[in-house]
Amino acid sequence: MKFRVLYLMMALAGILVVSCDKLDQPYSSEKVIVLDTNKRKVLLEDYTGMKCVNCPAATADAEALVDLYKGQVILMTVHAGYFSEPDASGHYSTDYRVTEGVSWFNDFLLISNPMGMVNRAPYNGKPAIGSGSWAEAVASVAQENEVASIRITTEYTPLSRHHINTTIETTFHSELPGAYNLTVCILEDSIVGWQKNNDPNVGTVPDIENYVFNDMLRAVLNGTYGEQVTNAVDTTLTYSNTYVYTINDSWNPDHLSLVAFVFNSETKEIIQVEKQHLVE
Amino acid sequence: MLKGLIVVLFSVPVMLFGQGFLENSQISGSFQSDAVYYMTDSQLGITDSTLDGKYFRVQGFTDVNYSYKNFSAGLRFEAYLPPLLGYDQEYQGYGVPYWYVKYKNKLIEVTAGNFYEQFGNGMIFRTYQDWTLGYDNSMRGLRVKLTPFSGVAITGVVGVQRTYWVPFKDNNRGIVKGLDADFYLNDMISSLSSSKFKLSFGGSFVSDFQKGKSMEIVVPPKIYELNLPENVATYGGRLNLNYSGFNFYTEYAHKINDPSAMNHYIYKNGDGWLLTASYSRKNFGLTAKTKWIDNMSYKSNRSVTNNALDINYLPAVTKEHTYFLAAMYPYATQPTGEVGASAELIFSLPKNSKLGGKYGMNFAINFSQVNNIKRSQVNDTTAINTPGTLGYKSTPFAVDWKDVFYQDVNIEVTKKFNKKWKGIFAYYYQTYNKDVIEGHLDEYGTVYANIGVVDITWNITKKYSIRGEVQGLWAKQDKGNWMAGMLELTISPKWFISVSDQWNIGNPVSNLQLHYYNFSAGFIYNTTRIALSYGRQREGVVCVGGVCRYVPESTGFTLTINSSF
Amino acid sequence: MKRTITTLLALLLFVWTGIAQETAPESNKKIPSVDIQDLQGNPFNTSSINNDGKPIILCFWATWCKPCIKELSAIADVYDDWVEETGVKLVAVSVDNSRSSATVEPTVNGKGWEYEVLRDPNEDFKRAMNVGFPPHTFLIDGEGNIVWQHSSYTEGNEVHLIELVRKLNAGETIEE
Repeated sequence: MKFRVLYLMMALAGILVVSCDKLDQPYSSEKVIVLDTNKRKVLLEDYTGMKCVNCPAATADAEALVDLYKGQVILMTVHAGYFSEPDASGHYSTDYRVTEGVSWFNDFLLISNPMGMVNRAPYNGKPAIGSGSWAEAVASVAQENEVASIRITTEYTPLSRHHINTTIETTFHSELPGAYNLTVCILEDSIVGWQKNNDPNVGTVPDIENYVFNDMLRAVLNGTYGEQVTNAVDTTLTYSNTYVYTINDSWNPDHLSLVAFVFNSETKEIIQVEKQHLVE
Repeated sequence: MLKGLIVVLFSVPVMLFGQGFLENSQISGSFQSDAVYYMTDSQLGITDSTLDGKYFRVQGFTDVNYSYKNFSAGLRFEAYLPPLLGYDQEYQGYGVPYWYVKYKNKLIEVTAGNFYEQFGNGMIFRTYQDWTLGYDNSMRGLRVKLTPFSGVAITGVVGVQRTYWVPFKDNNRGIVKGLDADFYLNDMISSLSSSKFKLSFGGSFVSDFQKGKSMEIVVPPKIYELNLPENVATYGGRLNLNYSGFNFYTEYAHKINDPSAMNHYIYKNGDGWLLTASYSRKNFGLTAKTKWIDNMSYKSNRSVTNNALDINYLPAVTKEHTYFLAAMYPYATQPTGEVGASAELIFSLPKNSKLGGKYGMNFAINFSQVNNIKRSQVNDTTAINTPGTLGYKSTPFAVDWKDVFYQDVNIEVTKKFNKKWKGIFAYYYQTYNKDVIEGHLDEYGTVYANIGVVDITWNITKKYSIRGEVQGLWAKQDKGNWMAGMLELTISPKWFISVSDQWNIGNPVSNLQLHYYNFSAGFIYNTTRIALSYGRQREGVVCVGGVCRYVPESTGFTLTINSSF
Repeated sequence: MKRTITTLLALLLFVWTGIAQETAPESNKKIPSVDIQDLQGNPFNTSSINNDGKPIILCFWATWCKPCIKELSAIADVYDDWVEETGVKLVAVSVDNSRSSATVEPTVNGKGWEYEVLRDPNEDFKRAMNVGFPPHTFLIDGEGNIVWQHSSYTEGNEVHLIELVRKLNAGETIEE
């Protein structure tokens, strides 16, 4: 009996020894991205903070993804979380946060910075994704077929400086079940400010004096979870939503863009996203 | 999981109410609840948004164990509504993260459900729980322990680890398998059983299976596809020798290619080596330790970088301190690489001796130092830690002398003056590389701190006693000098009241020279302890066994209740 | 479903606690059998803790725990007298993990303590005994029943403890 047990354990040990993969060089290869217009667009949200030392490196990763997936990946950086809270005075006293961004940060349990979401789709069971896995998450979402398209038409003239009038047209390509909502945001590029940093490859350490914030969320036009597009998808229709908005004086209209995304009202997963610069 | 739970939940009461079982069964358990009412504090900069609008936070657990003859079962209910500040907010929620059923006889022990286990010193496998730290990496699965012959112990485990409340699905963590064997020569060979010379050795093997043969990472401006080992294996061996007061212990661990977010996705093998020697006899004890850690972070999810899903445990060689100011700069093991050594001498001058006086005197002298390991490039064109390469080259115990992570020299003297008075006097000199230990880069530099502690106890009567502490910390870096004091009145065995203050007297910014005061009172009735306190919590790091948790500043009322039955 | 389970659980805990109280006095609670280590790291099963029919004081402690050291040092001063008078034995179980387990024996000897010392590096015994934080002290009678326990240490606790041992030796029941 005792010996039988011992044999069993030895067999088990044998199984374990097989449970070992020893890899050989080269361990990695450069990925070549082949773009396919039949695939859906991807919204990569980068939740960041000017006092977050690991954030510039994460944002650099995100920007690399945007460059490589030309036009297919749209980036939105959202200031929210502990490291985005402004100091009372000093270099880090600017508040870049937007109420809706903070709500998303809390609702999707992002917990810390840098953290991100890719189409707000679950990755390993939850939408919050550490920056090291963004490439992986983007690659998997970018392979999914396009199920809807969005067209943004904006009326804006330098004379009517403060007012924009934008129409979002949504068409569905298949009879998707459930209800869908639309969120419209304004992003601003080229905002210069102080940013903490600990990656010498990205900039000076420990502070970057003239850090350039791009794709920063400035406003949400239609509330935290937007407005309903439809609760019964009809592929023959074009759903249209129009918004009038007065932009803030301090924003530079040449650096603004509009981002619109359509998502399942229940799961909050984004099915399509589009971006348009205010001034082309 | 649900099914398992139901089995446990129902089988226990059935056994309970069954005839005759009641007399031989045992139930025991414990309970703890920590409730804090936080307040805003303009001096500390605590606002509604720092608290996330959640002023009242409670966390607690109840543990229940049941045993009947060779069977036992138990579970733990935990709730974090919401978690206290400084604890991982991912704990928010409640549930039963831990349950087990166990059968044990002389030959075999089988556990189904959750379990805590350690192979050797834990360098390749250890699951444990620490409430203070908010840490739990328990395995859920199956464990079998065998004692086929006297002096031989074999353990096999398989399961997945706990991470907050996240259920195991979609390949979100690996499946961990492990096998461990211990051989105690003196028990195996009867002619050695009474020998003063004792020898034992052991070996273990652990493998983590995480599905996926490749993954993509961004190294701006490119994306790389990494080939991944689905099975990451580690193995290790150990040896323990005792001869009267002499002890020698060594453990070696080796890990095969494990690219992960912790090590910048490099493919170098990992190594860990621990050597401990000690000698002691009455009134004298000497310990020496050295340790080599090289790329030994081992987690069951390769993309995790926080304190979660650790498969192994890398003990720090430094001494753990508990006085307020001596614990201000604690060391935490750097799993990606460190080399350290420590020595500790403890001795007593006996009672009624010339030097020791009537009541004797005790000394503890400790030294430890931890440095970075020496790394060199794999070739001229590849920078150290380039993702998707071997990463770097190293030689065991090759020290980077210039890069000191931590150093601590300290002496503690305990002296009883007479029946009523006794005291502890301590001095510490600590070198703390704040950037490395807390994960910054060239932000703070290294802190050099001199710390002095005087701790006096006055036993007024058998029932009443007063204890006072005076502490000072002198440093030119970080937050500068600190003073601390504490006064505690105890009425044995049930009551205590204490007042304390930590004052950042030397903060370079004058309006940050703050007081961190605290008032607390408590009541102890056998195993039930109730304590209420009001005060400020200093920003700091709480460490248990080399694993640390950051604690932010806060102000408020805290009520702690714990009990066991 | 989740809610049902939680309710069920709360109910069960309630029932359990009720039974626990009913079956107490703790007279039928014994030391569970757990495999831990002796002072040198060799295997030791807790069911073999005994003192030939005399009482045992079981203390959970750690080298880094100041009140534990205070308690064990205070008892060490009077331990010889205690043993002579009552025949009691103190078993000190260290919950030091592998960071400090190697310093347990040098600490015990360096302090000149003469207790039986055991090591519980992964807290298996601590968990089985439902100990939250050290110091935690148990009093065990000659038949191996746990008759009293107390968590934390305040100056003078040892005076109370030896009184309980005397009571136990006198055949009195311990109730408080």
